[in-house]
Amino acid sequence: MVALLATAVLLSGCSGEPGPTVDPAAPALPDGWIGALVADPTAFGRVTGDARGAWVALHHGDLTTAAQGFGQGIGAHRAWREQAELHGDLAELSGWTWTALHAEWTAQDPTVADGPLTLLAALAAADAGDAEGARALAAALPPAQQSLVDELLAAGRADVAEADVDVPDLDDGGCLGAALAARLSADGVELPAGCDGSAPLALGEGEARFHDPLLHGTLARSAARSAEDALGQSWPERIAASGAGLDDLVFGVFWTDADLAAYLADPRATLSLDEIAGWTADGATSDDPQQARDQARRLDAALDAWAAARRDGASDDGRALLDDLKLVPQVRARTLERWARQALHNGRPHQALAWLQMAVDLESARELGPINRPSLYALLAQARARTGRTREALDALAVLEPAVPEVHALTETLGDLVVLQGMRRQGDSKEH
Amino acid sequence: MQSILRIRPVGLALALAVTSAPAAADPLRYAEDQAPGIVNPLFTSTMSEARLGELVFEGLYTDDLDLRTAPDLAESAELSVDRTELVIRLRKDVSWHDGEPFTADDVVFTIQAMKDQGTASTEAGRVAWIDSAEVVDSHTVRLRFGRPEASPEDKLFFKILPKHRFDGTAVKRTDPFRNKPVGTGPFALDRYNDDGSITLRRYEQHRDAAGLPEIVMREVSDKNYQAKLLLYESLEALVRVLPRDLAMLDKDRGVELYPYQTNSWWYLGFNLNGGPWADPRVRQAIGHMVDKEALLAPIGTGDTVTGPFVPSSPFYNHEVKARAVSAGQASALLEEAGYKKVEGVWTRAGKPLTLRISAHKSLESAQEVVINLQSQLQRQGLTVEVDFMDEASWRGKVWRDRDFDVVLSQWSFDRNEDVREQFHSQGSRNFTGYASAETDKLLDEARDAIDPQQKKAALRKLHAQVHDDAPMVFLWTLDSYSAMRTRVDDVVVHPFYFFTWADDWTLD
Repeated sequence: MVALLATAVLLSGCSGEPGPTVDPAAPALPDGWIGALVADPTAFGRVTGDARGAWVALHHGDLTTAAQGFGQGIGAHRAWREQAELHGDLAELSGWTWTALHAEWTAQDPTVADGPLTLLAALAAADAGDAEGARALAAALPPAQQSLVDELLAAGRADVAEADVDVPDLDDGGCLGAALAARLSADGVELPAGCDGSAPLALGEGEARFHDPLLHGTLARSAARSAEDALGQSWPERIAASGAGLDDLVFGVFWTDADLAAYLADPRATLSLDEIAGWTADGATSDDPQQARDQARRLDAALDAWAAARRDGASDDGRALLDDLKLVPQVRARTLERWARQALHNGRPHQALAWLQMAVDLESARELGPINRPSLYALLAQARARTGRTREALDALAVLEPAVPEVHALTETLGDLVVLQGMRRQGDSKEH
Repeated sequence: MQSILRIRPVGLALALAVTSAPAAADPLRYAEDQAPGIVNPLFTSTMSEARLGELVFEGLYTDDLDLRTAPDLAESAELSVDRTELVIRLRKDVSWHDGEPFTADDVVFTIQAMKDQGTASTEAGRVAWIDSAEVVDSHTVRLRFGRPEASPEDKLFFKILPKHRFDGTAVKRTDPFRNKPVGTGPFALDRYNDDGSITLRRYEQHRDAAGLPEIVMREVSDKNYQAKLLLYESLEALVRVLPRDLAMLDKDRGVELYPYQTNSWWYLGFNLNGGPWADPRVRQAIGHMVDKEALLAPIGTGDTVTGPFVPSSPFYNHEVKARAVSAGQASALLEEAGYKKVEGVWTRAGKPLTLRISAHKSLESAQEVVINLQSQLQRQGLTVEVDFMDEASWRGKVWRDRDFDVVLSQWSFDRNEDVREQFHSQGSRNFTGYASAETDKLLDEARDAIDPQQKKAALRKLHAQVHDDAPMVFLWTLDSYSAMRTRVDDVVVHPFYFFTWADDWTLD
């Protein structure tokens, strides 16, 4: 049995309060691996076995350690996939930030457009998949640089098997050129040492100090490739032949066999929450945060009832496992995260913000952990930025930076935007 | 203002029995640690005053939900080609809470009152850039600036006052308006209640009639008691929750938590206007004696800071290292400054080094911090006295008479994190008397920068400079959340002023 954390009542059910009620529209949620472990908590020790350290790292959101600890297989795949997703989310924020920075800065000082800002913003937009924005920015660039943006956009498409690109010398100290080469080549996506976003690009004397706009997109693709490599061929074949074991579900964080099967059929189903997500998907077209909060409360009611039922039939160890490992709050947070990502993609950042704020575990709001996954803070930063809360987006990145030091580059770029946005405003301060 | 009858935990059962389970038409009741000392935007100095002012008053411009500048009392504006003149057309569908029409006279009066040295407004700095304001017609004003302004609307957020309620532009802090405010906002101050609470009622003539019929501000100085009142539904909202209460409130499905980030940091501010604290070595020595982590631990989670910004700020200088907690380094600095330790007490010319720590009574957890700090410093040979002040004493002793050794307090900033008024030698909020030519130069450079990276660089240097000069011991920043019952719907909280969009809120 894993060393259990200090007991805490994490779900509703404080003595004397009414029990959770279930929305009649809610489906009966499956037992899944969480139910299996609660029913037989001794299985947890058997499942984690030698991989206990790697599982603990994965559980706490330390994805690099988890990937190294698992080495190969579904656990390593899971850790790499989460990193790919994290850097993909950060690449989207990077694209948004560079585009906004370009707009704000050139509005205040049109001469800035003569420097590298426009090219970097166009590359960042392309990296985030914003083809329209990237092309609009690239329109002001010389033809060779326009081509570069086009090629980067093309390289992001699945149907481009290989790109043969002559990367121009950008005199940037090597990192941007290396990132471009990595992105536009089929050979690999590894960045040279030192290209970790800790230092600005060297773009010439007297120029503003800009950071690599392609860093997160490149890291996302590198992690995705590692995820693929970690899984190999044998694991899917074994699952297909003999079905999934409990360890596959626990390490892969698939709630049920059906979720795992769905993932194998379509890896874009990145989390095992289709059933919940499908039940509560509202097809919202407005960006109303109150509607988002109401939807989250329906989710809470269903999960509370599910957890209470599992707890009723469980041993003390089973209940402790459920509570101390925060298993149900994890499911809740990942569901909210998933809804938020969809909302961001569908242009509903206020709803995304509402869900993400509700997802944060306030017992340790400034730390990553089982609920506060790295991607939660990446999405929170994006939702805040896109709702005008750029200064608060920096708070979210600050939580991320100790564990993901590459975020420093984006923090500096977003910081430039925050400062620009405030330069024409009147500051205010008060006591207490 | 009426005397405050603070509600104490002793009366919890009775209070709950009387006030719980409000009906749907009942008011939204929120708690402040300290009731606003004054409801006059000319003299707003605390967050509780700013929050109440946000409900009662309006500015020419405000933030929209995406924090973009949007017209409020203004309808439209035209900037001259040379950007030194702005003509603003005002809304004509606005009236004051006493029924009088809102006109251009009110705008001009407000600017003149803020600039009038006889007023001594705490907000004077917010209009210093406006050279003149004149009435064009009943609903049009013209503002002229000393130098070109790229986007002057972004600076016109200050609250507008009714000219007809004042005798002239030199307004005294004691003017009766302070507790009989008349604004144009969505809520009008209705009454001061016997229990010290303040009731605001919806102003029905407001162009966007608010969803809430009434709002009641209750002063509840005990944070634990605040949390209990919320859990037992005797309040609908807490403006700020202590970090240590967050997890408890988060578990209650009837409570929703909203981040309320005010970029706040705590500090110990020395009186530099003479005495031992004018010597930077003595201040630096105190810096080496203070164990911030030990002071912070009992009051909750947060980040310690080394300068006048929170760590996530673009201006925070992460290369500045915190002063080590070190008796040896503190001793070396005090000896260099001429002090000797005699029988365990630091003395100079036979007199013990005595430190009086002053704190506002309403500062959350201040008593806990001060008592621990007193213990830390006494153990290291200082004689320490403690002085907890009410609002009147704080204004008089700290702000007017500069009668203090060191204060424990907190500054909160909007997203601009502009510390000029606190650290410039001429700053209106620089009550410590700090004056440094280098710091002034950096603040001027930051103010005048048109390149954000230059501004960042200047303020990061300033961070290092004030850390070295140590006019303050910079302590920490705390996680900041507000809490509301889930029956309060449609809530969006402004990151600084909190109630900016409260007219959209509703109660189930």
